[in-house]
Amino acid sequence: MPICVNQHGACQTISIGELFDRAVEISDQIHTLSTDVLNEFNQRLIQGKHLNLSIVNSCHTSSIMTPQNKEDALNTSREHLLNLAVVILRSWRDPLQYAISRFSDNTITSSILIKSMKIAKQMKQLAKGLSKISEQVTQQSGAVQQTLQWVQPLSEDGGSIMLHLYNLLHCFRRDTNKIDSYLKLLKCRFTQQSNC
Amino acid sequence: MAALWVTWCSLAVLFIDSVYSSDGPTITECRSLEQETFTCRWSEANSQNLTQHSQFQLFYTNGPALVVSLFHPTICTETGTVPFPSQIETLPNQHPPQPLYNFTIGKEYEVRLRCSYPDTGNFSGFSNILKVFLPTSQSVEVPLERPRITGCRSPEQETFTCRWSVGNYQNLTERRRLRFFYTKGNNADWRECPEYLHNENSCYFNQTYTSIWISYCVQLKSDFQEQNITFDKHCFSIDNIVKPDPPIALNWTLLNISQSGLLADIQVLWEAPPSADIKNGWISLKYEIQYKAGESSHWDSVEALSTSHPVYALSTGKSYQIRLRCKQIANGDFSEFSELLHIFIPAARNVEEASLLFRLILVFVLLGMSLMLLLILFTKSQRLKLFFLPPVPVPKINGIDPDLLKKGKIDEVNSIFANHLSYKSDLYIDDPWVEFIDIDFDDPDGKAEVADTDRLLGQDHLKSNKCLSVKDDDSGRDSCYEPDVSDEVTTGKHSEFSSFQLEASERKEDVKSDNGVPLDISGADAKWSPQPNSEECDGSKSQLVTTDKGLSTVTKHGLSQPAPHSPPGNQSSFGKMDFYAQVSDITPTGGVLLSPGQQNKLQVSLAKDTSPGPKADQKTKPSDNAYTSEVDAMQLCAISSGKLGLPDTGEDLNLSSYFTTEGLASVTVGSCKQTGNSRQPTNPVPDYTSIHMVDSQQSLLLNPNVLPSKNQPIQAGYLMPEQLGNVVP
Repeated sequence: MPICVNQHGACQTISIGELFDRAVEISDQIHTLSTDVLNEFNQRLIQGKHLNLSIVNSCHTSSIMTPQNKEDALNTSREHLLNLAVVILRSWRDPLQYAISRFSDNTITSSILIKSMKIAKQMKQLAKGLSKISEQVTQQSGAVQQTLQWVQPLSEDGGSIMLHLYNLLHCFRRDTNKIDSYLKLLKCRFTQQSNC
Repeated sequence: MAALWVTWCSLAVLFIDSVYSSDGPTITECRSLEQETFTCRWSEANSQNLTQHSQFQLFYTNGPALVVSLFHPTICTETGTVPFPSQIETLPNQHPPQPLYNFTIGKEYEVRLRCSYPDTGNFSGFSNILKVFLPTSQSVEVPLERPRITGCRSPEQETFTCRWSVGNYQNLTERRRLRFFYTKGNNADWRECPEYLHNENSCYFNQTYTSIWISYCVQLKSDFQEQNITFDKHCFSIDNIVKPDPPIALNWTLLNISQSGLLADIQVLWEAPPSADIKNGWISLKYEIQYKAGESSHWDSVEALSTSHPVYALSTGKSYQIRLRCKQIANGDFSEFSELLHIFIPAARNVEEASLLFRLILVFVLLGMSLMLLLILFTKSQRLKLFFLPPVPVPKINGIDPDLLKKGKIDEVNSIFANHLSYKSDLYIDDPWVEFIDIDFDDPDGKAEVADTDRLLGQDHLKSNKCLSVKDDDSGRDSCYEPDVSDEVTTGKHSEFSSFQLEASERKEDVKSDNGVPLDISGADAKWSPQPNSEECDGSKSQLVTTDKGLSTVTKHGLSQPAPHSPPGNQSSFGKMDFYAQVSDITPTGGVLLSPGQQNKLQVSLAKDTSPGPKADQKTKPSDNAYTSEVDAMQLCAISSGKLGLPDTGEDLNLSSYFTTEGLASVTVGSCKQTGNSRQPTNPVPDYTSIHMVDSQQSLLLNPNVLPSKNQPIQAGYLMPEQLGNVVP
């Protein structure tokens, strides 16, 4: 069923394919920006000390059960996959705001701050787009999605805050890649059901 | 009050210190090694109160206070001097093995390590000392290389492969006892590689072992002699190590060729690497096409998002090479380059011929132009040179270009003067009687020239009249007068020898500003030499200051060469004085008779201005000698006086640069009287006639009071203003 965009006049239908195109485009942008932010953060603030990845593994989204490879992803239902993408997206809203506020406090280079704010904006756009898609897909509007609770870390000294932010950005980059991959899979599965 | 407080504090400190004095043991530090346990150390006291085996007790609380008492020492603190290390290298959070650089060969080194947590500053104690000796180069043939992990790569985000290099350690070359371990996720055990590829020194992880978005750590270990040395360690996440295979099946088709046949567009086609799952959308690739002409070394690149893309503007007749590579969008690295695709678009034959012809024509044209240029540059003919390379016109104020006068371009000058109300361009054309004074402009060195006076007065009188002496320092005017008219000079009046100079010098700025025309006709060449009247000279101002060069310089070029007949050697005692004379008559032979007239403080500028006008006008003799007619001078004089009489009619007499208002205003010409019959030099003939007014038809109405008898016959070359009407059509 095509979606009605303009509620007050003639209805303009936007196909799911177009919605997914736009969603994939935004998620690509988000992922590129998050990679840039992480690299810049790494460069400027940790001064090239390559932190052992094993230290920074405790992402708050790890508790969400997501398919970890292509097989599993293909075996997951479309709606569930879409739901997962939405949940992950929503669960990053608060941590991102925390990171932005931390960036504004410190004398972080403005490019990191600017990019982070851009990311936040794009995330909002993507969330809107995904909710529209899910409305269309699941025939339900305004379905309350489960969101993950994220606890803001206690304010500690500057060094641990930096570590924490690094961890955050690292997890965020990983999750944006996850969302990106899921959306690309979904795009194929929604638009060309048989071919995928 | 503050002093009291400080004193109390210091006392308190002292007191406290005495309590915790060096008499008793002190806690040196508390330290945690792994953030799970911690140890507190104390030092024994030096006091004699305590025995050797005194016992210490350490009490602790979770709160802020800490109380210590004596107890048996269980930990010995480390003391002793530590040699200062010559080299400290900080290895930021690295795991063994680590290279250390810049060791000198042949020396023995001691190496020791200590560690600290990243965010705290406290270092641990030092490790054991490792002795290192680097043998000299003779004993070392090949630099030792450690085995290390060269890289891990996933081509399609479903499997991945890790590679390592074995190095050249002696213990390992016999048998490759390198073992590869990995952990997946957090807090996992080290597992051995599921699939060794020994011939390639790599480990392959297939789909079952590969999980995206989970961090892996891999290790390269040696199991030799149970040494359990870890050579290298590496951590990553699969989504970061995606590097696709290169695209395959490159092909191209011709899109179109331009009209000229020189350029063409092609469409490049290829296929995505087969390993990447594009179909499902698991991988999305973007491509980069690189192309270059066969001989060039610089690759141009074009980005493409699908499996075919056009490349525009390739030259025909050249061979090109094209290569491709791809990359996952927003992730990973570029793949290796694909195979080269060779392209050759044959140029149309007519294009080649046309280009050849074009080149030939171009060469010929260039040759011809260069020949012409050489010819022009080295030709002796000035005319030709000027024709091809005309001089750049310099900006100048509307006025007379001295060059025009030089060349005698009557028409142009006429047009210039036509703007002036009082100028009648055709006035003198028909009059064959009119001859003009040859006016010369001076050489830069005015002193070498003879003053006007000399010419006018003739050599005899040159010395007698001192009032004509004038400082001629920098007036570059010369005056060339023909001496042969000296006998015909009837009137020796040199009333003209007024302070022309003075006026001019005063207003030199004014005139000078009119850059264009300057006409400082300082030298009025006259074919006569009037005789000066010494009596009248007394009143003349002898401050004939020289005008500045500015006035005269421009005039230099303007006029022709000085008449050769002027006696350059004639130095008069009058010095170099410039003045203007009223021409009273022109002899049939062409000589000009000056009228004595009254002394006029006619402006030099005025005279100057006037002279070129008529002078340039004439073209009766196409010679370089230009003459100012008596009539002209008269007329202009009339104008000037008229202007005096009617200062309000300034607009009518707007003679641009030739007449400056101030100049004219300062003319203290009493009256311009017309010269009478110059045949009687003894009779003072009025030089100028004042103009009563100038009517709209640009004719002058003279003041009838001053007019001489109208019955005066028309002499050759002499016209009364009112007779202008007869002449002017």
